[in-house]
Amino acid sequence: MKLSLREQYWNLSILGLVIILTVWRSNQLPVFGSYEIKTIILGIIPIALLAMGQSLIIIGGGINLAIGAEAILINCITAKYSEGSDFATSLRWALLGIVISVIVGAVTGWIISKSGIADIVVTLATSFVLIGFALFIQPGPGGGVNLDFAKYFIGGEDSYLAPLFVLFLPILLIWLPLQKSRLGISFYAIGSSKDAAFLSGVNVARTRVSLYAVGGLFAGLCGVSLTAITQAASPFAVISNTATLNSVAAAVLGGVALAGGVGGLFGPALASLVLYYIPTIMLGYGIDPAYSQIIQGALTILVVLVGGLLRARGKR
Amino acid sequence: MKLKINRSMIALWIILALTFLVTGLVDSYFFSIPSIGITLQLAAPLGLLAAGQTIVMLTGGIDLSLAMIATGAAYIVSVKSESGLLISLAYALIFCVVVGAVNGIAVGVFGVNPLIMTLSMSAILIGVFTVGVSTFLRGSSRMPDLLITASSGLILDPITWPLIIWIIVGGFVHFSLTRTGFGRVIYAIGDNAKAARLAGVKVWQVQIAVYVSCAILGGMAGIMLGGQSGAVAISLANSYLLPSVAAVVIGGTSIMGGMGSYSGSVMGALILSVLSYLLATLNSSEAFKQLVYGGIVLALAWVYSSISERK
Amino acid sequence: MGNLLEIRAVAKNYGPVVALRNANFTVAPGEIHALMGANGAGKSTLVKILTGVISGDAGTIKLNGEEIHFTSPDNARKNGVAPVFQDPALIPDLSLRRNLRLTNTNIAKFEEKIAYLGLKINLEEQVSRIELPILRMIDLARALAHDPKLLILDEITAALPANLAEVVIRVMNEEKARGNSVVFISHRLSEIGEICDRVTVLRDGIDVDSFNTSEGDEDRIVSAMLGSKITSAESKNRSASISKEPLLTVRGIKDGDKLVNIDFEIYPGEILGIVALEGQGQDSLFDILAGEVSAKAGEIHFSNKKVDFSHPADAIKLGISYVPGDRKTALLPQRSIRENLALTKFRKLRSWNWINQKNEDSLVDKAVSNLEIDTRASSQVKQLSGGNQQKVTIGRWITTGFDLLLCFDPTRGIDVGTKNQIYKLLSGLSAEGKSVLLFTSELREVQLVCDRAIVLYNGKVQGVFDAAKADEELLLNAAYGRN
Repeated sequence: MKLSLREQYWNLSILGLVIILTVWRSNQLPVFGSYEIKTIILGIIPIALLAMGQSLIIIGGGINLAIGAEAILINCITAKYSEGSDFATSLRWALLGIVISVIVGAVTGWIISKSGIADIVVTLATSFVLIGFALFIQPGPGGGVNLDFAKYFIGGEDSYLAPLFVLFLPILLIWLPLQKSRLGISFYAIGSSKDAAFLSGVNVARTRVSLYAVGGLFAGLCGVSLTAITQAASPFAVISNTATLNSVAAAVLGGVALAGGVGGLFGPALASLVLYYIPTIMLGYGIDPAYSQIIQGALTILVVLVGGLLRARGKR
Repeated sequence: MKLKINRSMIALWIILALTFLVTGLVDSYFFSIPSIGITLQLAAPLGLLAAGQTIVMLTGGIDLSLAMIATGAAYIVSVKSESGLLISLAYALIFCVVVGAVNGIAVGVFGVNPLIMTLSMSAILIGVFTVGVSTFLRGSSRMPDLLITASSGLILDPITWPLIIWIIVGGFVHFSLTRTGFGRVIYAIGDNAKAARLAGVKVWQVQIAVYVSCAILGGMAGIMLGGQSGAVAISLANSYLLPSVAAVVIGGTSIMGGMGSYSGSVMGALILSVLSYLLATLNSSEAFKQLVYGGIVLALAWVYSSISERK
Repeated sequence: MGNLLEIRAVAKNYGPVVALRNANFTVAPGEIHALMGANGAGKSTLVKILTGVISGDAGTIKLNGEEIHFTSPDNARKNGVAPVFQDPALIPDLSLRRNLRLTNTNIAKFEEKIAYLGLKINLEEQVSRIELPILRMIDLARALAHDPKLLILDEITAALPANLAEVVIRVMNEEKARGNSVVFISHRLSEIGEICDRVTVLRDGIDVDSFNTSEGDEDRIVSAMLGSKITSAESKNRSASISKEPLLTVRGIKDGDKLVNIDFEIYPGEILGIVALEGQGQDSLFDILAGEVSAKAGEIHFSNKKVDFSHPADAIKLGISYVPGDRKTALLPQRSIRENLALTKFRKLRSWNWINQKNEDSLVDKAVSNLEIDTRASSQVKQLSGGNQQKVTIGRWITTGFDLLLCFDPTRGIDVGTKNQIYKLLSGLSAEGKSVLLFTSELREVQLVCDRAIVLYNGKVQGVFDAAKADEELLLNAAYGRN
């Protein structure tokens, strides 16, 4: 697929920013070897997966404020039942977790289509419900996972190949085929213009269910990777809320328009690297990482503001 | 139509009565005067937050920075309390007005999506106050005694000072929405911003005023929360953000704007407060609490949207 | 030979509004069939039913003699019915290639059709970057790539450059030669006789006339569209003397789109009618005068002063009030009649204080009784009938006061009784010395209520007429650019 010019420029500028930040970060560290790279990749995998799921939903004209809760729920399910288990059990629960997440997403999409309530209200409510389920399953921190299974995510001692794989596999196996498929195009279509999509033969309600289901797929992957990386369950509403906010910020920074229909998943994946670097680099200077919140917030506002002004100017 | 408003208000009364009865049956102490006093006292800050959220949501917006504004105002009051109560309150007021105005200008003048704007503002405020605690906002984290009394002092069981404050401020909000020109334009821009503009209303002015009012109400709620807990922490109002939205939605205010009332939000706040008492006495887990919360918000929102759709 | 398409007794209501009453329409194979009708006659509703966008409340559709029910536009396309709308149904944020993917269009076939239309297209181009006329041609090529038995062209030639319009006509003739049929909807009367075999005219949701074009001529179409003529007895009593100083003068207005160069003036106490076919830029002219958008060029003088509006409030302050065509843009649908009537009172910051309920009561009561608004459903104006809604939008300005009322098609889609009330109201305003600029799609209203009328065509004022002499035929001909 050829990216639109706007998308190319956007991705290039984000890439440039990422490179600058990477060089900056590498200069902070005494050594910048494969271990450091691995740390960085492991740090961004959950953010990036969630950002991709959120971006897809925003592209399709929705927003999911429960996406963090979805990931936490899957994290709790997989960590609880994989604790002290063998490889096969861990794998089985990981797959089951992802299936559950897809179903949760589909149900969310169905409720939105069926009820006609705004996406924000529905997903705000489901975020409570999902955290509730997560706490039911795993009332406090705990759980675990088969270490051999986890190795497929965190890799060996100094090798960053496995995490790199985990990061790129969803892009290669889900996003690339999806955006070429009619379903993927339908996502853009309902986000861009519901009426034109209907006239072009898209079943809007059914497509919205699929949209949230695929979003759920990414959230499920995020939950499983959290289990593998942290080898524990963290059933905290605070974590899920922060994760949701980060996913929206990454989507916006990654060039996804809030109005829907515009953007891709590469940009948000790169943007999550920026979101990871800001606090890390500041910490490297001994600056209170709280400053990074300010920068992240201001950056998000700035991007939306500039995007809005550009759109207003470019309107024919 | 007048009937419909009454009908939904009746539905809210029934829900409140049911939760009230069930709570009393589970824990007979709940029916005692002091227990009712405490429930109302704890409902007051949520009621004030819901007031701010109501006026913003009536315009079709949302303020997700409200909890951080509340925390921030409480922080400023406690830290500046050494320079005198009025001065510290003035500082908090300035803070609320500035943050609200920034939100309002971004949304009203520059057309930034309110969800993103206030989410980001919330992140910025968390950063500012986390940094501030160890630098420019170093100082006492204790609330002034007078404010502690105002937030939790008993007058005559079950009437407490925060309840009185809530009734006064809430009444003011209610009458502002129903009986003033400001209220009219709030409903107008939420219902149809284009029509309001064509009628000569400057929508951006309304937006700024709305976000500033919301921030001031949030600040009051924050100071009250700080007074109730005696000391201020950075997570003070955090857990109140989603309930503030939930109370408004339960109360029948449409997130698309233009429809709803503060009296509905008051009912929503009371229902949620009784509910959290019930869930607490049931010794129910956090899990159950969250499930019930989410389920009720979703179910009520669905009922309202189907009522308004049938019309 | 059987008919390709046979529509019998189709009806469709939108709530209380009747869009189609009882429409019959048949298309023979290998025929170019024109569907005509004035604004609001039910053409677009019929096309929507025919293409599966909506379904009718009653009636049958037969395709090749078999009864059929189109469930979606996709379903209609699969059955050989392919529409091309005035606003092309392409997703703006997607590339052409991906749009074609969405409709399962064969790319090779599409490119072949594009070449056949004499165009060069980059498939990777994003739709929002393509000019509207080219987009329509692309939409046409896409429709042709599906090998339709029946092609529906809805106003496709409107604002299309002459060379492209010729291509469309060539395509229609070649489709006909292949034995396929075309339903053609156009505002350009001259095209009809030239290219169509048959014409069906809709009026008020009923097919009032259908004939082979060789039999009739353009006059027969026009009179069928208009229906019975109006007697002059109903006409307005015109004020004999109109002062010499214009209230509003418009010079050289340009909107960067449809309006090229508009000049006219309104005198105090005058009702000036504006007549134009759909899409001649009349809506943007009203938006400019109301301060909703600014003109790209030109000057507006009001009461001898040059004015420049940056917000509708500026125009309101000077005494220019706007009743927009779409009542949805003027009303607060979920609020009460009272709040809708009083809204403009609160436009200033200093009016945001306590409302004097007594004053407001008397103000609202006065407006309600003056305008005879039915207040049975007073708590939400969306529950009012169209006519009562329109009275509320006009009533808002009557309670406020104004010198010039901009009225955009105020009687569209409302019942006859309310229409007459609105005519009376406008005449009364003019008697009080207020001026009204009235755009109307119902031509007889010019003689009923106006003093003078101007006709817009091709972005300019095509003619200025004394309303007493401006019968519907004269106006319609001017609106079609025939002088």
